[in-house]
Amino acid sequence: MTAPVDRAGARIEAALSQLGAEHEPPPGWENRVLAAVRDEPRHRPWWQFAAPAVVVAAAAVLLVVVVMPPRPRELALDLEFDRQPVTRGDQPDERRVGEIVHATASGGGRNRAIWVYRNELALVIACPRDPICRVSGNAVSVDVVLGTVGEYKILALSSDAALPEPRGNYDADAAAAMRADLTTKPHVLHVR
Amino acid sequence: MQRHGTAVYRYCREALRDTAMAEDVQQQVFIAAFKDLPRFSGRSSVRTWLFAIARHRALDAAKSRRRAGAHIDGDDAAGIPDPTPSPGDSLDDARLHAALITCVGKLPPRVRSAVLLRFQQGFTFEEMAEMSQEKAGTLQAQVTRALPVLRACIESQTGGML
Repeated sequence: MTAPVDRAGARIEAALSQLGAEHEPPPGWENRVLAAVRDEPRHRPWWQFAAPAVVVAAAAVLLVVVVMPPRPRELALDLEFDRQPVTRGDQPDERRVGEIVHATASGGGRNRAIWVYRNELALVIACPRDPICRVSGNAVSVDVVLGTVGEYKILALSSDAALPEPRGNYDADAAAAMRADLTTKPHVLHVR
Repeated sequence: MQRHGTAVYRYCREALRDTAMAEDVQQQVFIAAFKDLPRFSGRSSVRTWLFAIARHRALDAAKSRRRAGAHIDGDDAAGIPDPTPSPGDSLDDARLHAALITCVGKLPPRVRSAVLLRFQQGFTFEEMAEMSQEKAGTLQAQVTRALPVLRACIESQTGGML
């Protein structure tokens, strides 16, 4: 305790220690406290509020990953070239006579096709109908020799329904595919 | 609750100088203590912990009252003898008590709280520092400065007879 400097100080400290000694809390205060504690909604830690949301989110992820079928991959047309020696000034879509292009159509619907035209009016290859085509899993592929100068148009098609047979005219076949609501991916090569 | 209830009530009553408010704050203290019991770390004693809550709640209540512009009600003055002695009398304990109540009530709330915790409740300055997050030295200085103020106030109330 702080040392009293004199008798008066000691009296003050003593009186302070007795301050309010005659007062008692109101009767029944303990019951009121207990009732208030009982009636008050129980405090829940934050993670108890978050737990249902986490469970719902986990269930949603599970549903997407496990239960729902995987979304089919979009139709893709990949081209690779057995390139002839590079000549200065070549453009990316400009190929040389004699090059071989490896074309692969993958993804899309249940059925896929690759149609290759030269100068729009000559159907060079129609996959998977032609014997040089390869079909594996969800892809169809073919190797095309760019044998003459001109424009080669490669059209990949896909649909869950059966695909039509090409008639040999690029514009007519592409228009028919569009009318039949087929998915298509065209690519044009200029061969010199 | 029974062990500390009366002490907390007496502290609240003198800190607030308002019976109804003291009853309310005392109950709030124990309700808060029940709710926070799982978080009570046991680093301090239960008594220190309870008075830390009480101090905080009482200061909040006093601040709210000041903001509302309310003044201390007259409950506490009832039944307290007039501290002014008759000429020639020495100051008896009853008059000292009456003057002390008035003078403690004039101290600023934080100083009043420190004086009550130190002398009414007998806490050490270290315990008070723990409950108020202030330095023990600061609290000791507050209390030391308050004592001559109280003495002067009591003497002015009682005609210098202390």
